Amino acid sequence: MLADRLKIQRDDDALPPDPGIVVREIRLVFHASPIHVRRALQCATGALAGLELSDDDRSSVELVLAEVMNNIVEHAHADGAGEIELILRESVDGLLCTVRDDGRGMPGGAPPAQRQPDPEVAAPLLQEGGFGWFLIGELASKVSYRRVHGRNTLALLFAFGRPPRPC
Amino acid sequence: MELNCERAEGLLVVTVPERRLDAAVAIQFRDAMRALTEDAPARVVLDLEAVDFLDSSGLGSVIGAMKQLGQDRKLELAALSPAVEKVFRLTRMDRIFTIHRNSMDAMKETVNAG
Repeated sequence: MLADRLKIQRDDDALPPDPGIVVREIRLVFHASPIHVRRALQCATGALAGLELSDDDRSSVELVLAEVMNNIVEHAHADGAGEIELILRESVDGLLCTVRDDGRGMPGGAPPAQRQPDPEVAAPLLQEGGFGWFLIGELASKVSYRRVHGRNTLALLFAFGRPPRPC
Repeated sequence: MELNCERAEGLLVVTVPERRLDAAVAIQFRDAMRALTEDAPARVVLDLEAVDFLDSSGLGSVIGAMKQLGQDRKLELAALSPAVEKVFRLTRMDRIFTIHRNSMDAMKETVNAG
């Protein structure tokens, strides 16, 4: 079990840290735009500071969340309007991240198949996109997607090497 | 996006003075690289020392910048932070670039070659 804590970073830091108060979950709601995705990520990774993750694990979470939310901005909310909701929650299995939006659903009702990028092709043919889902699949322990009542929910688990619980 | 650059013989070193090369700035980065490298020498070294976060859009913009240089010129990378290096390694795009520990190393190579 995570003995760690999500932490809310305050600008003024007026309140001293109090071990009697524990932040178990943070929820951010923001406009689906690249700059707001960036700010939300900085806020979320600031909160992760309390989890005492390795730099490598923390950067993996940041990268996966960036890819997921960039996809929402680019595809689900391609019309430029809409919101994204991001929830980070400690759980016994690891860090559970839930990302919701009310934009378009994924084509085919599921995340696209992951394709291993190919560096061996001739330079002019090198891909410049399509890395996002590959990185998400490589770095998240578990990914699930569903669309209910016009709302997309993507749940991501980061187990950080913890063994999965028996079902 | 403002990029800094320094010319040496046969070499242009471009430094990205941003901590994040992400979807919010990928297009500006590519456009700035195009403008800067139009008459660049045979080697262009992209110094990413200040960058501690790169997402797939940032990666795509670096690959785009490499393709913009055409076949006669080469884009090399320098000073990748662990988080940035991880993105190149996982996507195997580390194989298409010469990667230097820092831009000084890249410049020394020119001197040695000359």
